[in-house]
Amino acid sequence: MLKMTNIKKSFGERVILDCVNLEIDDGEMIALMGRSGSGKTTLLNIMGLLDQKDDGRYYIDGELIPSENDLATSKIRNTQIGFIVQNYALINDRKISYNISLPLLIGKESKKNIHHSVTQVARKVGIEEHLDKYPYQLSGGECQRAAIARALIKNPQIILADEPTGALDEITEQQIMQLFIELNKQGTTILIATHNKEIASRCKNIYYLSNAKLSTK
Amino acid sequence: MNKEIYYILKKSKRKIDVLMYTQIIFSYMIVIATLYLTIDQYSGLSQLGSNAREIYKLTDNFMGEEERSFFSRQDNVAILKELYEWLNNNEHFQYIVASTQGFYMEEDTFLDQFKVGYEYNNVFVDNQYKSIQTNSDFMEYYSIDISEGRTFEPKDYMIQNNVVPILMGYDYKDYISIGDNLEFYYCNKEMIGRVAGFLESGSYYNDGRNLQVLDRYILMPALEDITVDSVLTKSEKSFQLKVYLDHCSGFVASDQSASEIQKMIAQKSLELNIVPYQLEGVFSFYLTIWGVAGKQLQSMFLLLAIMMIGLTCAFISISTASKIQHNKKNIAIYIANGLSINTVKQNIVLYIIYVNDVAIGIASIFWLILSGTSYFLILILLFAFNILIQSVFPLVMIDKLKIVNTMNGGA
Ligand SMILES: Nc1ncnc2c1ncn2[C@@H]1O[C@H](COP(=O)(O)OP(=O)(O)O)[C@@H](O)[C@H]1O
Ligand SMILES: [Mg+2]
Repeated sequence: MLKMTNIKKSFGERVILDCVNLEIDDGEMIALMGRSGSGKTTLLNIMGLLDQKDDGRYYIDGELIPSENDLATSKIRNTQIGFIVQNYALINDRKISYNISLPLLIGKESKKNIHHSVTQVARKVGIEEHLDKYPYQLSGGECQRAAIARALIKNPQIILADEPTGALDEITEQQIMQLFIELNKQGTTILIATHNKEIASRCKNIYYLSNAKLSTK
Repeated sequence: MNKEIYYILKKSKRKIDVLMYTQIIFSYMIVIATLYLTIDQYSGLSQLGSNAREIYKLTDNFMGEEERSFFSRQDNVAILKELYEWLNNNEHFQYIVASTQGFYMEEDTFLDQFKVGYEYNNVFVDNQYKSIQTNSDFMEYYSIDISEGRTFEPKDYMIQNNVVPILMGYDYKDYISIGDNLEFYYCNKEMIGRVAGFLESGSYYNDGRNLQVLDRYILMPALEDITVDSVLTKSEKSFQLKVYLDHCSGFVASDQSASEIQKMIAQKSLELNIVPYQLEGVFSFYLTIWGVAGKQLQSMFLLLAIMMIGLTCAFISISTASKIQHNKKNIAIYIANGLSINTVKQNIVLYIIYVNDVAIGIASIFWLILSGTSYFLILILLFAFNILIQSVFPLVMIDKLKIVNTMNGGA
């Protein structure tokens, strides 16, 4: 379970997030909607511990996150959060298998475990035949599947996906959304930031971000 | 995995690396060369450290009218003699005589390099050879040793005739032998110097501005007991005045403060009814084993070394920054997947250490082979300082990294 209270964030004079409260239960699938520039990415970055909030509290499983503590936050990024971005964020000169295994490598998992987990998660997202290829040899959809596999590999509390289909064509977009829905059915908590109503409509809950405030309508 | 970023930086070869390494190695070599030029000369003079009490130069205050009237008075030789004896036997300080009257010889006896003024752009005085007149405290204070023959004995300072023992600087060894006689003029008085010994090579003293190496000097005892009472010719009297005047412009070495010594000297001057002698601070020891040219060379090297180190720091800093820039997407991906930012920073510092390490290693091995010295400790300190300076910019870059934008391929 994930909870944020009174989150504030400004860039200079501009207030992006003003007292945002958000509670996400296990197994949810949420769309975070808002116009481009409304602050979706900013909120996701704070949730993903990739940016600092100005104020407010953030709990995962009831525990307050010490956002100034580099060691603690890096551990949480490694184990509790799967982050997915529009352009996949794969390391181009490394094989897909390496890319997927990154959280395990950083967490110093043993080689044997890594191999087992990578195969399993690759099968789950349907790219097991591409493990020995490089990202540039794969299509956009396949790359995003690899990124999803990487996000899933440590069974995180939540998957944070920022415009995950923004770079994909419509058919592939549908397939990736289908994958998210299946993963959610299997118990994965997912938050998708999007400005696309179509995509939002396929999620169980929708939050709207506008004028720095978060609401359910 | 903890050193992944380090390997990425190390692996990411850019053409500029070769240039960078060449430059860094070169600059460390220059630093070592500078150390060689400065430190080694000092360490050879390590005995200086043990007796390096502050020294002050004593100067008279006779000027213009006073000077003329002083020289015209008959009894002034006796006054100066008393002052000198008081200085020389004072229990509050060591009194060091190092008068620099050259030896004038009628014939061109030795090579130009022994002549007065030789170091100063070859403008030397014909037939005038570098010489200093020294007392026993001088020999003690500068630990003047003899490589051959004998040094001055107490009776040498008391000589009243014109035959004096002389000590030759080390470089004279090939040109003259112990027991040889030299005819010369000292303050216009004809004298005979009998070579008593040769100084050790590298003997030196502080002339008030620089350390002077004595290898090309002739040392003569500062005569203490020139007869005063007998009836004197005019030239004899002027000789004596000159000698004592010279002797009284020596150096004072003491644990006591300058003002205390100045007070004592002022009081003695008052007693003798002369214008008070004055103490002046003397520059700290600054060695130039090669004389004036050496000092210039040394400061030139120092300047060059500082510039090179500055350039090196800028070079490594910028090169590391450019590698980070080049690899920032991957670095951001690693961070987003759980690598701690501190680990990334450690990796960067590690890489900077590696770059310096290689350069300093090559430079010191090269120099070690060349000269047999490597200045390990100072290099380590410089090394640490460089790492610190070079790390600032790359680490700030990591702090400013917008992780998500960057891993998404944005700016
Ligand atoms: N690091 C930053 N510095 C300054 N302004 C920023 C920064 N990141 C985002 N912004 C601004 O904050 C606003 C919200 O951005 P973002 O969260 O990316 O919106 P969204 O993802 O909803 O399009 C935008 O106006 C953007 O220009
Ligand atoms: Mg966005």
